[in-house]
Amino acid sequence: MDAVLRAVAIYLVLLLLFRLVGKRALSQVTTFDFVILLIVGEATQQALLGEDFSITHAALVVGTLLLLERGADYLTWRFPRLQRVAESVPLVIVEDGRVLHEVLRKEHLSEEDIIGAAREAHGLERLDQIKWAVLETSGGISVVPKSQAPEA
Amino acid sequence: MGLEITREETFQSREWRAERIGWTLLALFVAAGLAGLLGAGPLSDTTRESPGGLVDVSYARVTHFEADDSLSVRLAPDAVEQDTVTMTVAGSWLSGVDLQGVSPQPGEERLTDDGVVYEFDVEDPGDLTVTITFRAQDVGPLTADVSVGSDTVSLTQLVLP
Repeated sequence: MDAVLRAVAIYLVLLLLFRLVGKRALSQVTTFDFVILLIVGEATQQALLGEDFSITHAALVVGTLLLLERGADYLTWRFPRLQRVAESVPLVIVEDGRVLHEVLRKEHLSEEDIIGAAREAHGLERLDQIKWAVLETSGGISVVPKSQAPEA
Repeated sequence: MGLEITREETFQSREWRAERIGWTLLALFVAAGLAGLLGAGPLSDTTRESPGGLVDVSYARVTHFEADDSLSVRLAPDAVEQDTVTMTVAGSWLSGVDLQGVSPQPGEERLTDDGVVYEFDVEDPGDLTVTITFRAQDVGPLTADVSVGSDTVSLTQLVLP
């Protein structure tokens, strides 16, 4: 019982914290982000396991976490409203070639971030080659380039 | 020209079925854990009373290897003789666990043929509760006999790995 309750509590705490921090927080795992993730794991370990070092306990903790993940996937599929709450929504940041500076400011994003994503995904050189850019719920920026052919 | 990809539709539908069975088993496993079939929990916690009513023991039927656990022994006021209570713990349980402590501390602790004997000095006979904390070192069933005089309560704990 202990194992299941501990896993549920930690799951909810982490879900809330990471949701509050925002989409971008750990989307691109830099070296330092990676270290932070490790420390989060270390910090929650004690709360998850307590003074119980048995395999049964570990299996229950892992099983509960995976079941919660599966259950959350199902619930967000079944109730799209819930998905909005748990995972946020995709956000348009370049609309038909026009950069939405107000949205960028709210998300603490710069044009550099957009052009960086465009370089990585499409090898684009300039901001004006981007038709659409979307901040996805995963935290990544997806870019739709303007058509290669000159527009009529 | 189509997409160059191998489609394994029968395999995929078999996998979907296996996944759903897997999720159900996982849910049952977690439910069993929550209920206490795999460790402390509502179905695991129990109290046993000796036939003479002098001693009763609350413990978890299922406990975990290398995990802190405790059991509490309640001694009836009738168990007090000349301001002391003598409690004997015997059985495979003794050698199967690492005893962390007995609270309150007994005035005297003796090793006998039958097991370990604890003597507590009692000033005011009332509801006397002794808590024994331990950590299981053996896997499998462990049996313990807790007795006061000739009044014995036997219990079995299953230690899961």
